[in-house]
Amino acid sequence: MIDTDLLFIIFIVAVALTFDFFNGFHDAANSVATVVSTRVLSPGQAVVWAAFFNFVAAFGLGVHVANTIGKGVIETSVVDEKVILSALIGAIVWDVITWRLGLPTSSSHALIGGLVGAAMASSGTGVIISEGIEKTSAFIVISPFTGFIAAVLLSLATLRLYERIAPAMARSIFKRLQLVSAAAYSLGHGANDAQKTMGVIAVLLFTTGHLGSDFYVPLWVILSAHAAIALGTLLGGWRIVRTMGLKITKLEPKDGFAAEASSAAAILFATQVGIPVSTTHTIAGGIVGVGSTRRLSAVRWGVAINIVIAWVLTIPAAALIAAGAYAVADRF
Amino acid sequence: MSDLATEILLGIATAVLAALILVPMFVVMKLLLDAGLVVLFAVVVSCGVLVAILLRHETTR
Repeated sequence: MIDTDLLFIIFIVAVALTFDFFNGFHDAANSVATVVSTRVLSPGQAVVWAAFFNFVAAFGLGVHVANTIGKGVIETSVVDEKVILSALIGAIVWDVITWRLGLPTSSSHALIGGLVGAAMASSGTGVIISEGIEKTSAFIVISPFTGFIAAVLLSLATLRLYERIAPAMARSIFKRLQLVSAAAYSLGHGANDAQKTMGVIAVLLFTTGHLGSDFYVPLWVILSAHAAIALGTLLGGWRIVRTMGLKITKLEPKDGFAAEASSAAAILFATQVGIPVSTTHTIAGGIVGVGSTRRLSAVRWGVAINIVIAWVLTIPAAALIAAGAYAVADRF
Repeated sequence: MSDLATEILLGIATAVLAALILVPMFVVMKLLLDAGLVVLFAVVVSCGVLVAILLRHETTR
């Protein structure tokens, strides 16, 4: 007969995979916003395309981000079932609130906020690993700036290359290239975001003695996390797709290509150096970048500023909710 | 040259151009990260602000 502790761990793993699913539902649709808004793919085709590459990212892109989430944000010695469950509750509740409001905030930062809040409620501020928080916090700014700069450079370079090319031909070429850039973006998204869930599950298994003496990410965790995020991408997030793809600025296929290719490169870079970044932040930076090359007023700054406010609130808000959840869980 | 061949050549040229811009940029970012998070942060934010100022100047003339 299975003991209740193991059942509780299985339940928390299921909650973590549900969070991953909602990450796909909430965030991953950003991968296809530009492809849809430029009418390269229909919404249905675009989500299948993105989901496929979300899953393919399970192979060959390492687990650096999972290691950072698992060992680099809070001390593993304070992690137990209640901390992880509270962290996930904090992140999921904040994701649902922002999803209802149509704000493309970061599930990744919500998860980190949740971990910090739950750990602090459990054992105080001393258990927070400042290096991990500093890196993650710095990349809240660095990743959209990088997406912005890369998109501007790419956009200006392609503008020069296509100066004497007929617009119809350029449009046809960029429609095809956007399939590649969207795939690269989804690959980066799958790699960086699914690894956050992997990190949470792996640290839970490690601290409860189910991994042995060394921390690692088991293959079944890698595959199930990628499957969950891919399924989430398939099923949702259109409210946010509209905000990202259409409300910030109007896009042409060449803009979509520049925004996606530069954001994909930025996310894959962060994934390789083990830093959890928001794919939402990065693509927003890329979209603002391509919009700015036409003129700064092409960017709807009111929408962009609302998004930034929601980003800034994400870590503290998710931390507060997680701390509250821990306070309740600790009574049992 | 047929339209199809032109499209294929331009597509390849665009992909190469993207690689020539993005790959060196991220190699430099890795070097900056190795030098320190503060260095990377300062350089990226300064470049971002500079690019925005230049764009504002160029697009409002």
